[in-house]
Amino acid sequence: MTRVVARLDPPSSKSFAMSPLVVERDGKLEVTGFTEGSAHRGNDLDQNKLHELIAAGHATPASVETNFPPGASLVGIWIGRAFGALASEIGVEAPPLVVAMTTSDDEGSWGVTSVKDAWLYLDLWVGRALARFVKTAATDERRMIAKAMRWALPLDPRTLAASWSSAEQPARELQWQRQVVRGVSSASEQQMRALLEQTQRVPEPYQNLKVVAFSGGTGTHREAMVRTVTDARGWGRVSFRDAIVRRLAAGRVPSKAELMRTGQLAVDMEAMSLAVEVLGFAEAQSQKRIVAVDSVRHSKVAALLKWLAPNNLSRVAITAKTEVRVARLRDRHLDPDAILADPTEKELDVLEREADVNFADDADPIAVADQISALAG
Amino acid sequence: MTEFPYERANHAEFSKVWYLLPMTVNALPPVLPIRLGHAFPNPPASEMDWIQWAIAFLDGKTELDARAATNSAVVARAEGWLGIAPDQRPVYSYAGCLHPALGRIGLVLSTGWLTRGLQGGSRCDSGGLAGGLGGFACIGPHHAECKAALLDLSFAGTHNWRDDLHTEVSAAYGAEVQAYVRGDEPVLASLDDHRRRFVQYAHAKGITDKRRLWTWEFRATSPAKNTDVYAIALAHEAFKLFDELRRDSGLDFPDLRVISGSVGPSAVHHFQELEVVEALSGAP
Repeated sequence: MTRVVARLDPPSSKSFAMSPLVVERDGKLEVTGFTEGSAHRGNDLDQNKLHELIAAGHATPASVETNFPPGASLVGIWIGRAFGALASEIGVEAPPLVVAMTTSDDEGSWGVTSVKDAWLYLDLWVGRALARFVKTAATDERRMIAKAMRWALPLDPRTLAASWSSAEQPARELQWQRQVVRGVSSASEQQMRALLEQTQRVPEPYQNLKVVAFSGGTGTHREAMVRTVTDARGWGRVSFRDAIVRRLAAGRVPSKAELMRTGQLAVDMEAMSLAVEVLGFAEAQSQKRIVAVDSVRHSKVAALLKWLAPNNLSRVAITAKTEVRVARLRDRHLDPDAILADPTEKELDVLEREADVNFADDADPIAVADQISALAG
Repeated sequence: MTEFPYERANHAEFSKVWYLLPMTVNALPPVLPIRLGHAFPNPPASEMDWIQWAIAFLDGKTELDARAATNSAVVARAEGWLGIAPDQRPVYSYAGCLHPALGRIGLVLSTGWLTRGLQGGSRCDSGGLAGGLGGFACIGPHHAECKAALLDLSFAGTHNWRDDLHTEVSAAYGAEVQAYVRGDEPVLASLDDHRRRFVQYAHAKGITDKRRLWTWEFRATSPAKNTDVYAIALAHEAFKLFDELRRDSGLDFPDLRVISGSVGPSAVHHFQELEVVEALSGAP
């Protein structure tokens, strides 16, 4: 078991941030979340040094147990309250935090996740903010967007371009950037202009997709329903289950228990990566009128999908009576008690309530397809 | 991820390119082009206090004075052994090193600062030695030998420290001043008996935080001024606060080099380490 005992370089309420963590493993303190080049800074951190850092405000204490595998490169991902408010004000909502052990206080919310996921959160948000920036004509609004971007990734080329482009004195802004970012020069104006123009031309990810997310527990025959409906209408089909199978060893069929265990760990550690991967496969089928995303088993993952594809996601739940599901599980030689108590099955009630429409497992697939078609528009 | 051609160097890139840096010549220049590091983890402070202080300092509104020691007991012991009166506490800095490592704000200062008043210096971390910390633990902190070692390794007044440091770095690292700044272990034979013993003890105990055993410490009697600053290093979140305060106050600091931390797909750069090494190695 790994226990997170502190976050380093604690962010302010105005910030959207990735933070290195101090973790305790086998009684020893380690710093995780630094690049190879900065890793030496965490050498030989002990309790005394940590207390000094906390007392000086350079670290914030925490007490969070994680079940992440040893050696996993973990970081904290933080969304400050003031940042969330600013993000809403500029019309680029902060993403929902779908990470393990989320903690909130008056200043903001944070949780533990993989470096890869934390980077995706920041990178996707900044990309979306820049897309908003290039579509915005009002100077004040553009400056607010650039300001919000600086509270996420201040040195990112997209942020530099937005800050320069919206600055009252662009030459002064460029001079400051030259003092802070190696490689920025007077020639960078051209690169920044090109970046802004390119952002204007290229559509945001997932904007051409119509996505219908399906949820429903084991034994609801959800998968068969999705297959029948999509085959009948020629719609695209992707599945979180397939993404989990890809994470397991190739060349064999994983057991149900293995799938559930790996799926839950993936949601805990890399929900954003998982959602982006699945939507990436969906985007490859964007020529289809609708793409079904099957096997959504967590409300927070559905919220992530909604954040990633905010204007074109519909949600459908397939339901079945519990006694019917139990009988079907027994027919498959699965233990109903174990299956129904699994974390990947626990949120099905919530998913049903949140869905735009629920269908019983014995509904006519053609009627289901018609209704989904109307729902997706 | 969108990248400009000036993608920031990581450690791996650093190890590939650092030998191209202008400082790497066949022999050290006659004057060691090293700068001093001073980092800020000292309590008591709130994060915004120190950022505000940094802005005021860089704007010339305040100076860098002696601050309360983090580990006050061992620092007081070391200062007592060195004959420093409690009301004449010095300002500490380290040759080529931002110490402590996890401070969020670091100043890279010109050695010209020391010409205004230098109590003295030590060829290692005086507080660490007086406290018997880490590799210094081979001598108990209360042992007479500990005080003797500190006095052996220290000098008072301006002394001829430039020549001595130059000689030591040359002997320990050949032509590579950056190796000293990076914290690489020196050739043991180049060290005196005390420090060789500390390093060997650290090896035996598996202590990896060793650079305090040989990094030179300076104790200035005169506060540092903004004109002494070559660069400020800021961790990523500290930079965000600093940048907003700077913008809000309309300050430019046109001659200041800013070395910020950053985040990317490979995790968090506390600072841009290559730039820190270059700055402390005397890059123009």
